[in-house]
Amino acid sequence: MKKIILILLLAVLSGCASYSQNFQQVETLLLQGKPEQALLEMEKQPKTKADRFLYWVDKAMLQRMAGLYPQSNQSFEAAKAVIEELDGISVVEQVGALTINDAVLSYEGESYEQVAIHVYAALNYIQLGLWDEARVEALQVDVRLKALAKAQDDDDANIYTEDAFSRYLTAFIYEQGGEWSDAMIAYRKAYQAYIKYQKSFAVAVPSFLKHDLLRLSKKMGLDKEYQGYQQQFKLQKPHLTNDAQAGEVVLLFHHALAPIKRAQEIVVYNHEGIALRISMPYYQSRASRVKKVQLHIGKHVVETVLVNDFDAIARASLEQHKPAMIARLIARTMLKKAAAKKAERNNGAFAGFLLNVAGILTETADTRSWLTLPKNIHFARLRLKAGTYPAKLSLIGQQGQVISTITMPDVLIQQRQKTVIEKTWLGLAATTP
Amino acid sequence: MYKTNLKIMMVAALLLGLTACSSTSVNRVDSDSVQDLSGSWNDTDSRLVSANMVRDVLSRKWLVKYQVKQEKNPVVIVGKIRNLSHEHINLRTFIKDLERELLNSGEVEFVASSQEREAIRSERDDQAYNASTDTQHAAGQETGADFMLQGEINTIMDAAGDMQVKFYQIDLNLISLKNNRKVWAGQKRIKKVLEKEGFFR
Repeated sequence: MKKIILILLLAVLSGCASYSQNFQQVETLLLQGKPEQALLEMEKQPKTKADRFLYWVDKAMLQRMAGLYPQSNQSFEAAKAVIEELDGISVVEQVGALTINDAVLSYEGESYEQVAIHVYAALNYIQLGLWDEARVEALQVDVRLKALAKAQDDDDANIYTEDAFSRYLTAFIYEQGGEWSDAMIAYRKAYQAYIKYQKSFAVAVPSFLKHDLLRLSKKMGLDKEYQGYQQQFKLQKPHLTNDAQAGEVVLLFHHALAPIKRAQEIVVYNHEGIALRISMPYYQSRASRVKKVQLHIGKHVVETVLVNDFDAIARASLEQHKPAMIARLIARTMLKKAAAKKAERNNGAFAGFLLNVAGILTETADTRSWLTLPKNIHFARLRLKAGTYPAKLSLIGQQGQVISTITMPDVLIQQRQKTVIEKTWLGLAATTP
Repeated sequence: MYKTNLKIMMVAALLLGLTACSSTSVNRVDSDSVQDLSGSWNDTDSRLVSANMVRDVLSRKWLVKYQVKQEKNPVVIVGKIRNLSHEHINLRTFIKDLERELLNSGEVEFVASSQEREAIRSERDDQAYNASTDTQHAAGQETGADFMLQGEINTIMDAAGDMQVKFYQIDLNLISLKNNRKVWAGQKRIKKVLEKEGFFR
């Protein structure tokens, strides 16, 4: 009967609600536009060592939504430290994952989540006016993406090999500092990545990027490249205004939330043709109501384009992991069954039954993912003469109707400077299901 | 039966190990001791680089030339040092290290930084109203700096497998405020080789 202790232990370990279930209350507060309270709610929830990556990144996102940019960056740094630390996974955890469930494994973030840390940390620094520190993040993105590309060599199948938006963001961080050649390299990398994104995630090459490539290649005297882009893009009137005195406004619209993982029971067959019940995660997308955003600034109107789609990237990443995940789940289910059989033979039918129950109870899908990321990012940029402009956003729905109008604080444009304005919009609380 | 007990205990211990709590212990160490944890820029680097570069700047000819010609020590200020590296480096401690080394050398005079100046000016404004006339200090008697120390920190990273090489290059320039001439350019390089030791990999 000592087995009962073991079973109790197993039950305790899996007793806590899954990560995505715990998130519900935080999300409710976020939808009500109360990030400060969501932060407090999040601190109240139980924390596990295995989920510390998610704790830090979620905290960082809530902090930036509440305007606490320096604190947010401290949290992002803590998340980066977790990634470093988990680079060599401890064997104890892996044994746990093989015999209990995937959720006991420390979560170190999907590749796209690890890159997103740098994107949002850089945006925090930009909001604080610390462009040199944003540049540090730009360099770190490059290091991370290089490591990712290296890892691809043995695994050609991976769909996420470059991060188009982070390349685009780093390009204009370099541009702000007057580092034209670095900016040009980053713009090119962004362009190459977006061509792949078009196929993999249905995110087209942003029109703004085309103008940037034309503008900068012309400025740098890269005539052949400039002509090449002209032929490829066939833009009616490229934005080549060389008004050196003009400033620029950049709008980033973080729309809705990333998809959430749910658990699903499926039946698979092992190599002997025996049916096994396993629990698999699947993604549930959030409602997408905004198709694009119009930025009204002074007398000008500019429309956003989609530059990043976390929803599509997350889904593709999960699809990628599925075969390995199923193989692991089958192996684990067989192990548990074998243990139960052995217990039945040695300690009687009841012991076997208890272990079987414990095996089923502890079999839950790993539903962890970075939930406070947006569903997607919309982007616009516009060159403007220095001055202060009133600004508002019109959110355009899927049918072209105006869903909502948001008044923004006045925008100060300075000569030769970029002014980055951001809006996180999670949906209209009243109408969100 | 003993055997079964032992097995169950071991499994329990293993599982508990997964959820075990941790405690913090603190040891005080000499702040001059070298402790490399992550391979990132740390207090030792900051101290060594500032000491090394200040020694260099003070051993060059510009200083003697100035002292002979002007018959006084030059007045120096530490200006902007840009971090162009891969890491978020605490530039404030680095600048403070530089300032301390320069000041304590006795070879140069030092004026307060622009932030410190603001605070002192507001105190002087306050004195003008509130302090007795024989103790107050008048405005317009500040010492202007002759030279400004500027610079940047760059890094080159390279990694393959478990090996990582970090290369830091710190460039500092001393520029004359009178005519923008560079009187000294110093460079210090640090190369760090990191080897990640995976646990049961």
